[in-house]
Amino acid sequence: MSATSTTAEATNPSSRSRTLQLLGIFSGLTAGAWLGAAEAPTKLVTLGLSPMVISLIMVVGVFFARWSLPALILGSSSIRADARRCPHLIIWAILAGCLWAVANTLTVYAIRDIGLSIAFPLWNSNSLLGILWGFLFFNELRSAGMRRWLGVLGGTLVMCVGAAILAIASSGAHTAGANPMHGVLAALGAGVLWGTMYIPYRKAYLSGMNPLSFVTFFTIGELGMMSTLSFGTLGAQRLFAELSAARGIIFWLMLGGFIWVIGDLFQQYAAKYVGISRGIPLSNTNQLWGLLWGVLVFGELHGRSTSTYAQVIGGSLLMILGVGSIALSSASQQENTQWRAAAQRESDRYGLASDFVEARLDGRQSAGEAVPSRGVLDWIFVAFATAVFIYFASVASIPNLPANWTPALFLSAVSLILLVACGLRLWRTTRFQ
Amino acid sequence: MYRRFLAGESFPPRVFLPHLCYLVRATKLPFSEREVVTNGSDTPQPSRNRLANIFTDVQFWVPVAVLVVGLLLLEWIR
Repeated sequence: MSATSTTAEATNPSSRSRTLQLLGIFSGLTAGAWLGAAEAPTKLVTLGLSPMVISLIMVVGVFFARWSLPALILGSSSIRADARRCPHLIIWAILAGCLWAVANTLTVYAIRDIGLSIAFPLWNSNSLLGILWGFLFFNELRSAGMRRWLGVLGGTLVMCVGAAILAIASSGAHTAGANPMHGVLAALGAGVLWGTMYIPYRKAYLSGMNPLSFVTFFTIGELGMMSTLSFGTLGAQRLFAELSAARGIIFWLMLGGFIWVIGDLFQQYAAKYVGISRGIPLSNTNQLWGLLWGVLVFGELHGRSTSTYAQVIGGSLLMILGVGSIALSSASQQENTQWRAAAQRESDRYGLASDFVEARLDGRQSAGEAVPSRGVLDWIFVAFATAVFIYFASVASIPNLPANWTPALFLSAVSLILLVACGLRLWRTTRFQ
Repeated sequence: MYRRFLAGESFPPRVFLPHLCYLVRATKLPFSEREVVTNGSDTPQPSRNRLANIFTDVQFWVPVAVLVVGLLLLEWIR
């Protein structure tokens, strides 16, 4: 960002607000690309493992990424400072991690009982719940006007329809499980849990907590709950037996978790700068990217009928239309004032300094705040996480799965370009605050 | 002590203990009573203690309730 534009933003709050809104939209779209790409390494896993074990290994990769990436980007001193300022949010972060883990487990049962084509649109309803919670608790879409309401709600509904068409087109023939009612309830339950998980997200960002600090505590709940569920479901003996059998593929699953964290970090910034009512639908574009990986790289729709391809194109266009509608309905100045009122409520309730919260909402450091720095502990985190990944990479077996490498390279390049462009934009505008 | 000094008695030699007070930790306040540390000069104080603020916040109970229902649902499906 040029010095001229920075000065202009400093003197004109509405200009700064617009910049942050655009940044939030960009973050949401980048999140979609990386969350979708996270599915690619998991497709390499063809061994008949329990879904619970697959989830657990991915969450372990997520755990390492969530501790090492924030340490690398800002340093743990910044995380400690955030924890001292808003210790109450640690509880919410752990709670959000638990919600994620239970929702993720429910999706396993939903897919088993009703198949992805029905389950996916059901849990994708999380974006509608996000709009409700955003409106009720955080003043989102208040004083927004009819046009923005229609843009966000209409866009989300269109995206849900598009997602449903894509899910139906991309799923194979599914044999219904023993209890379809269980599947429907599991999918709806996952949607409710994931939609509610955004309450802690938004609360943290209205209180001025850095997304990088939030995810560090989030993952404690995530790993704790996932481990409890795995032990509870499989029992220690079977769990360790499966983990040891999966030694050759642990790297690919952990890599999937790592990529997922990168996407999730951008999702956090989207929730921070455009709120949950807009941030969730934008990052739900991951389905589109997952489909691109599946179709172009792994040839998932190879040999399918023309009508299937028509469904895929139609569903994708609907999703893009919904994204466009939401992106064009960014918050007005009046709505921004309502957001600040919600932030003020948090400040008053939990005794947070208004200038600190105000500064963090504007994506900058408050006066007198120490500049984040990395210490020895941070490098130890990073080195340890790297060593773990290198170890599992050295024992990993290369799956024998036909894949088209040209589109894989192309999609990887696009994802990397988005990562660098959005990362730089975040750094220049907010210094990751 | 001062009466003895006024009566002409000399003080016993003072023994300086090696700052024993530093070896004893200050009493740790429970989590709920600790103050919120903020950077601002206008640091406001929470009106009640922190745990009470959390437990009376509907934004805490909604995710908790949803989590409990989710766990019950998972248990029922299994």
